[in-house]
This record gives sequence, C-alpha cells and structure tokens, in this order.
Amino acid sequence: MGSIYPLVQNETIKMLKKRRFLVVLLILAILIPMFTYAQMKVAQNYRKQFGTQDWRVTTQQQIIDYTNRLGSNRVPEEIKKYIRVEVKRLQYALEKNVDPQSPNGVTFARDFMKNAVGLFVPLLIAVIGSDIVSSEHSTGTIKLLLTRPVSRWKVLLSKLLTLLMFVALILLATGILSYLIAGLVFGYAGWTAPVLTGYQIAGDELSTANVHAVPQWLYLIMEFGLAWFSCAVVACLSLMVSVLVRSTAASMGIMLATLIAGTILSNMVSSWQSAKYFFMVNLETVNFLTGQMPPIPGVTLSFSLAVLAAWAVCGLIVAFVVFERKDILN
Amino acid sequence: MTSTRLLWRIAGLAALLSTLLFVFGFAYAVRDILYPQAAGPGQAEEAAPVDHTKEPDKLQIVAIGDSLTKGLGDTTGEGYVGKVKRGLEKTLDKPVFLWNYGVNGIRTNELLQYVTDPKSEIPQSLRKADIILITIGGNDLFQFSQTQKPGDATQPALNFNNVRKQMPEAQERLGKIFAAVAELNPKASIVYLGLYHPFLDYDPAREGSRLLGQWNAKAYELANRHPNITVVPTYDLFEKQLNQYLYSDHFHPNAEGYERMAQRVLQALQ
Repeated sequence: MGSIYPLVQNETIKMLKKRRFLVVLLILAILIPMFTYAQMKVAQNYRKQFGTQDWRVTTQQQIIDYTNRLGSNRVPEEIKKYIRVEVKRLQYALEKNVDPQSPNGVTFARDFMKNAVGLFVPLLIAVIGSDIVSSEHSTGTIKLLLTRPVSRWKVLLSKLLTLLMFVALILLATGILSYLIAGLVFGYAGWTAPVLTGYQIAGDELSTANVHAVPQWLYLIMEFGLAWFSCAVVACLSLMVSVLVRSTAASMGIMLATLIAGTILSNMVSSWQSAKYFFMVNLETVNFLTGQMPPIPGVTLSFSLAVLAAWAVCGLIVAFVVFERKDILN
Repeated sequence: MTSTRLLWRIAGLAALLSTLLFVFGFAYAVRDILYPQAAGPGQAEEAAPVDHTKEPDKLQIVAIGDSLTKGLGDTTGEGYVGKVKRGLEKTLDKPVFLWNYGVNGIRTNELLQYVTDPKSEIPQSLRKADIILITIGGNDLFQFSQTQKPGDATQPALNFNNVRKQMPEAQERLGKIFAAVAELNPKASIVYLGLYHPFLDYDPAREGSRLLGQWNAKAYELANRHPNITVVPTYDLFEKQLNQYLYSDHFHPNAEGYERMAQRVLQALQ
C-alpha cells in the first residue's frame, strides 16, 4: 500500500490545482443564499398571512390544506397516498409538540441536504468525477501517468480514493456553507432541538410505534451519512463513465443525463415497478429518516442500499477491468 | 511547494475526518432505521410554553366548518370568510388575521372531532380568536347530493326522508359544537351561518324548506344558550334568485352569493 499514498496525494493536488473543486464551492456559495432568501420570504409570507410565527398554527393550517386535497376528486390516488402519510406525520408532530421545521441554520442545513441529495449534490460529484480519467486522455497526460513503474490498478485506485475524499469534502462544504449562510438570517442555534425519526411505512400506512426524538446534531450526522453513501455510489459510477468515455464533455453529459433522468423517473416509477432497480431512483435514502413515502411503494432502506451497492460494485469492476486492458492510443 | 503540501495536508485531513464522521452517521442511521427503538419514557417533549395572551393590536378571525368556510365555488378563492376579513380590514385600523380551518365535505361529527381533539391545534387557535365563524350542517342534510345529483333533469326526485332521519342527531352534535366552542372561548364573537336551500327549484312542494326551517330554528335555540353565539340567517338570501347566487355545481354559493353572506356577517358583527 506504500505506493498508494503518494499517488493519492498527487491526484488530490491535481484536483485542487484544476480548480474544479473551487467551482463547486462557488456554485454552493451562490445557490445557498438564494435558497436562504427564498426560505426567508416564505417565513415572512406566513407571518403576513397568519399574523403569527407559531409553528403549531402553520402546521395545523398545512394539515387542513392537505385534508382538503385528499377530499378532491382531481388529485390522483398516488399523490393522495403521499399526502395521507404526510398528514399523519404532521399530526404526530403536533401531538408530540416537536416543531418539524424550526427555523434556524441547522434545520436549513438539514432541509437543504434532504432536497439536494436527489439531484443537486450528485451533479456536483459528477462534475468532479467524470473528468478524473477522461481528462488525462484529452490532455495526453495518461501516457506520462501509465509509464511510471506503478501498476495500472493502483493508478485507478488512487483516483477512486481521491474521488471519495472529494465526496466527503463536498458534503462537508455543503453542510458548513448552508449552516453559515442560513445562520446569518435564521440564527445559529438549534443543534439540540429534537427531531422525530423512526417512522415506518407499512403499505400505505405510516406507523409511529417506534418514533423517537433525536437531537438535531445527531440527526444531521445520520442524514449526511446516508447522503454520503448515495454520493459515494455516484462517484464510483462517474469513475466508470470516465474510464469508458475519453471525452470529458461526453462523460459529464452522460452522468448528468442519467441523474436528471432519475428525478424524472421517480415521478413515474410507481407505475413502472422494475424501474426501482435503477440507482438513480434510490439515491434519496434520507427519506427513510423523515418518514416520507419512497417513490416506489414497498421499497425499503435495505433494498435501496443493496441496489446502490450493487451498482457501485459493478461500476467499479467494469472500470478496473477496462482500465487494465485499455490500449492507450492517441 | 510548501503551500501545496499544506493544502494537501489540510484537504486530506478534512476529507479523512469527515469521511469517518459520515461513515459513523451512515451506520448509525441504518441501524436506527432497520432496528428502531421506541421512545423511552420521558422522551416525548413537554408542551413548550406558548404565550396565550393575545396581542392587543390585531384582530384574529378563526373560521371552522365545511366547504362554505373553505370558500368552494368562489372563483376569487376568498369565500365569505375572506370577504368578512376584507370588510373588517376596511373598517378597523388594525391588522386582521385569518386562520381558515374549513375542510370540504365535513359534517357535524367531524367538526365536533376537530374542535374537541386536544392533540390538534384547532382548540388552541379557537382560544386565541376574537371572532369565530362557523358553517356546518349542509353536508349532514344534503348528503344525498354526493351520490344523487338533483341537477340531473332525469332524476329530479329529492328524498327528504333521509334528511328527516338524520336531523335529530346532527342537531345534537351542533349543540355540542356550540358548547365546545363557547367554552373554549367565552369572549370571542361567535357567528354561525344558517343553512339555505340549494335545491329550492327542484322542490316545488317546499318539503326541504320546512326541514331547513326546523334546522335553523333549532340552531337559534341552541345558540341562545350561549351569550356570545349569533346565528346569521342565509335562507332568504337564496330564496328569490337562487341561480344568480349559486355556483355551477348548484350547491355552493358563487362569489356574489358569498359576498351577500359576508355582508350579513359584517352587519351582525358591528
């Protein structure tokens, strides 16, 4: 393993010098204030409309709105299933008197990651990951790299490890930036606020039998842990695409298209059952913490994790086998 | 070169530590989801101290009831509740806030549940109200309208036997609703809107009118047990020009109909 360390160091420095990580940070630093502002507007709007910031009133209002949608003939049955679960969850929050959405920096970071893990953060990972091998082709440096007295699989392994490092860095940066920026507006408190978790979905029913409160800091770590797994899988697949396709633009395009297709598929997947074997529709494992319906009825956390892991393993096998045997021509 | 080395050290260390943290979080989350443990005793949070004292410089309307409260049929989306709010805003020089808990299609039994459920926020909201607006009963009496469309010319027959059967129980529940709301908030002005006859034009024998008369009379009687409940009649508003004030579903008022109802309520409040 001795020769891996300098390789990873080398790859990391290359990555940092290429400024791609800086671009990712910049994207985050621009987009997070936008979301913060939007959230602030929502809060202001509520205050203007209801004359109160009491979360119990707005939550009750939300329950009533959902109940009205449940009574409407125009709302399709699949959506009603989601709404029923959501109503139950909100009612439970009222019953236990735990604000599901206390406005502070920590809650914002939590919410941001929950919404970003399906598409936004994987896109950032794909931006970093899809050129990690293919750019060596386009610049011709692949020859320099492979003529070193290091076996090929070690070169690719170092790239994989570097990518996983950057997955962690991106998640960390997302968390820290969203906390710091949203904290400016909503305050920096809220680490110890209780969050309800442990909801179980059996069929269409939300079971609250095992619901318990965890402090928000722990919840945040749990959430980011699940997000990290999804992102690591995306990183492995980006690596594979990057090995298979020589052009950086093409490999990035493939990853972006696949990820975006996933979000579109998620909306239709309740009718097309076998789509649940795609990795893209299984990225949002965070939903199992919050007690929301998974896009495909009946999917469990174990299933989602197994699908993701299977895709990652296959992706890595393809990547390593192809990279070992590849002819380097220009 | 030293700065590059430093950068590598920092990035590498941060990545390593955060990866460890995320792996821990992942393992913890998976364990927590797959083998959840029910909350131990004392885990449930005690009610946070919510300030129940009303701010003096605002007027709080809380509306409960059925689709008339929700404003179904009003293309502006306001309903009579929204129009009352607008009317009050014009005459008073303080902000008026509205919490509308109207749910389409509910009957007296469901509304009774809403106002007595200690887990929901509706009783608390009623406590904080200055004005409480209630509409209920239409779905109890005209429930056949869901299955049997009286607007259908081929089947104009209305069956009032059911209505006659349902009425005593519904009236009893109306009394309980009045009692619950008046007890929650003895200071607020509570307004209950009487029922109108949406199928008057299909009811030449005026069988339904007599029943509605009984219902509205009973509502007066029940309301008079509590000094702060006012019953505002709406029957006459829809008697002469029914179709002008009804929405196309021939059941709910349209914007004009709601406007007339709102005027009544405003007069009763002032």
